[in-house]
Amino acid sequence: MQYFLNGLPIGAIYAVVALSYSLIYTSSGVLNWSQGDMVMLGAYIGFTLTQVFHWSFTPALLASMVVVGLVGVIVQRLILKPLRERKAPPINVVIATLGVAIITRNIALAIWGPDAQVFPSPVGDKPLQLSMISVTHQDILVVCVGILVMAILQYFLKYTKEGKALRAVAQDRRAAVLMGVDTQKSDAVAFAASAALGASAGILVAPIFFVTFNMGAGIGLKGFVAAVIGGLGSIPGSIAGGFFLGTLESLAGGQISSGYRDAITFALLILVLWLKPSGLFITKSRQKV
Amino acid sequence: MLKKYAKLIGIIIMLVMMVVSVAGCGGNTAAKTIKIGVVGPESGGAAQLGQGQRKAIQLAVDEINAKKGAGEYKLEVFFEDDEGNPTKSASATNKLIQQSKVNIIIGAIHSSATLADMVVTGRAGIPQITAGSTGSSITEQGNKWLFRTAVNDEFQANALIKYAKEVKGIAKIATFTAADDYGQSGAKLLAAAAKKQGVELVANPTYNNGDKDFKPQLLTIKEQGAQAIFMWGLYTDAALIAKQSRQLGVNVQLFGASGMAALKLIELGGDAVQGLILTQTFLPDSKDAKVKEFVTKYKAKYQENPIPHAAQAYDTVYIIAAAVKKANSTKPEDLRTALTKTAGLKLVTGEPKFSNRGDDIGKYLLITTIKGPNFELIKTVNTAN
Repeated sequence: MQYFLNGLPIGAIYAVVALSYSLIYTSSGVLNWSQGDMVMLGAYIGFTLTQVFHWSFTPALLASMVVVGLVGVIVQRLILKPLRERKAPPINVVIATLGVAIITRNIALAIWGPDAQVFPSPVGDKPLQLSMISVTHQDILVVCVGILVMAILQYFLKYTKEGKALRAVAQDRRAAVLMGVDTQKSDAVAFAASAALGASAGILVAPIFFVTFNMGAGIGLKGFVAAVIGGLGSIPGSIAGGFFLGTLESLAGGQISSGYRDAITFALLILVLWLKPSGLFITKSRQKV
Repeated sequence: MLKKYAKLIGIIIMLVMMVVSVAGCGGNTAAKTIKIGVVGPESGGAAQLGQGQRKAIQLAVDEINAKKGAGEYKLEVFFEDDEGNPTKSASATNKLIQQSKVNIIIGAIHSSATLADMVVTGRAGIPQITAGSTGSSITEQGNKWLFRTAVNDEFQANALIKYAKEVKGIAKIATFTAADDYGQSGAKLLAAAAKKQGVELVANPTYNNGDKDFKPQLLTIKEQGAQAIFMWGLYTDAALIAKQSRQLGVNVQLFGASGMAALKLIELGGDAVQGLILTQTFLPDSKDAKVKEFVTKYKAKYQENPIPHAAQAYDTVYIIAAAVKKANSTKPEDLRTALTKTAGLKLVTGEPKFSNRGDDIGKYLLITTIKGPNFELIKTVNTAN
């Protein structure tokens, strides 16, 4: 039970990051490897706002999502758009996003230095003892805000004009263009929304894991694994994949072998790619996003 | 037009080359230099250790050069960042030997990095002194080029377990160690020390470098009923483990080794690391005259307190200077022989003397605890026994 509970906050983080991969993947067909570093950037901006400028948590969360969202748009404008206009093969775009990841990481290293920074939890990290199990307020906050962010995304996709355009492009890019949807704009929206999602994950995870310039690599990779396990490109799949991976890691680490936890995760990734590449939680590939 | 210039440029190039070569010769005859290469993590999770090492070495080199502490020789130092990564560390070592043509190497801090570097220095026949790696396997390799001015983990593990049993009355312990060379050698030594002292080891989980979630392992430890957790890893990990164990309500005594002895541990760990007991070789607020002198100089230059790794690195440069003076040569073989005969020095972290395996057996080992924003001395033991 305790293992399961511990997996939930990590799972929520993985789910949010997995979503950010899926969103960009379906709407623009690109695997964006700088997603993990958007998480890091979000954490650092949140850290700066709360610790240096003494903002409170909620405005810092929102501001950081906006700033990192803008970074997402810049990435789309500077990298994706020119490459697409030159009809570059997808692999070039993927490599370019890897470049973005490395640049972002080094900029963070230059600004915030190499050492880990403490990001105090807005709700305190004293444990809540309920007979045999203990949970911290921060854990509850992570799960709640994580679910809230995912719900807002769902609302955005279903009921706003930009969201509908995004879904249209995801279904059929050509048809969407013919229907008068501005695909450049919808790409920008997808990058912005994904980056903002990443930023929220970063701020949520920062009080638990500290803030470091290379935190994006680990979280980004795990988020990607969660997306693939759940079904890359599917929103419910990504969410389920995130929570599944979080609890699985917690159980594997505690009950099987902590040293082999990552090996188990990646072995599962290979198994899924081998046996059910569309994802564990997807019955059939129908509507995307 | 062009031809005229071509001639002129040719003459200029020749002149420049002549000046350079003359300058090169001049440098060799006027002042003899010994080149020291330094490898350490200046970025990444253990950046504070690598930067402390760098600052202290620079300080020692400047001092020794100012007072001609190495006889006729002038010390020149080259720094390389290895990020704590064995592959990068080995290539940094290679670069120092091939390109910078160093005579001796100080490095690295991570034991896994030092083990990789040793292969390179051993092959090239260049003496290497590690001022930060404590993994016991380093001096078990039979590599005659390697010396260690850090405290062998074996001494630390024994001292810690002995203290836990005799002073704290602890009978059941768990170890929680990094799954790298450093952590695994620690785990092995703790298990051996526990057996020797008759303390029961109930759980021995590990974690991978870069892991952030330690709760599953901590739960296992809790279920096994350990009275103390012995951590063997670096400060970022230790701070997270301490925090998460408190969050899970695991309120047992925490122990650690010198690898995590950095003020950043106290900053990152906050309340959770208060009372943690760990072994170190150096405390900045010690009453010892040598320590006071070093701390004053270091503070004047860098406006911060030195970390233990800095003190050990500082001493290491003095050991090298003494060896160069004694050998009166920069030949690797002569330097090595002089190092083995190191004696009669009284430095910040001890009175260095190398065993046959290359371990410094003249070091002071301090058992300390975290109280408020500082480390506090509990007692001093000698590494020789």
